[in-house]
Amino acid sequence: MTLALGDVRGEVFSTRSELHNQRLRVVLTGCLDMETAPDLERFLADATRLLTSEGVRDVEFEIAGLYLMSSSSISITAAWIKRLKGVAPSCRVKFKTNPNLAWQRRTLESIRRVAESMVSVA
Amino acid sequence: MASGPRRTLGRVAGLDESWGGCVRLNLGFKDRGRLLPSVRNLVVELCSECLDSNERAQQLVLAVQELVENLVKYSDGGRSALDFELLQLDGQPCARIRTSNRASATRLGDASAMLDRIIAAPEPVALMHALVAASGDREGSRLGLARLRAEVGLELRYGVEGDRLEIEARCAVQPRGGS
Repeated sequence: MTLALGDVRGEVFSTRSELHNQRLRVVLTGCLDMETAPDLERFLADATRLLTSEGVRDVEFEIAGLYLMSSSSISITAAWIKRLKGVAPSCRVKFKTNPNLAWQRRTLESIRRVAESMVSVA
Repeated sequence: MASGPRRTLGRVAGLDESWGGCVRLNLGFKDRGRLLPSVRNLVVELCSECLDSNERAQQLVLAVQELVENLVKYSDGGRSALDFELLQLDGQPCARIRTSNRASATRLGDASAMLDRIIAAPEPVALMHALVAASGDREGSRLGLARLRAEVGLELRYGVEGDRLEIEARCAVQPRGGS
């Protein structure tokens, strides 16, 4: 099912989200720099509302096509995880990385440590 | 003064006079972040042509990205500059990134304190984790500077002259084809 989740449809960065059986899958594509970080922030704020209203238990971010994530977006994502711990503590968040983009695992390890029982990186 | 960037993508003579290149930006930052994709593309192009390791190229693109974003976020008027070079230093193939920008006394103080902390950190990755964990607690975490050491392994140094901050980051690289 495709959602009215306010997907980002920019040239530099875009999202594609689907909700199925209380599981939200989001494909992130492109580059997250300081110009596109506000789009991510808006998207995650929308996602938080969805998670709480729909009782979503699992969120999966597929980031194989995400080529860059600058510190602005790392901060936004980490802050979102921290908020999620408060409003949806039973939710699990998984990042599926691209083995050809080695930076992804290094960067996401920092984010995983924000909530080790909630976040996994594969 | 509104003006566009001056960009060059060309070869630099190293010791063997055949390897290297540079991307040089001299920005009024009227256009600010709109230029970021163009900067990335130039660095990607140069690294793809000159470096052996795709992973190293990704890391250097990330480092340039963080330093340019710092220029955009924290410059206080005037012109800012970024130089990205692949060159030979003391006979060793290296990547060197240098930035220069004007900043207020407060921002210079903040940047100096953070750079001192990053440079002195015995465990740069642990510092990075701590800064990410504190995300959202305060503005201007300078997380991007911490990534330069923690994720890219760059050697950092900096200087303050008057109201200008100059940062230099460098690391060894492996040229394409082992030349």
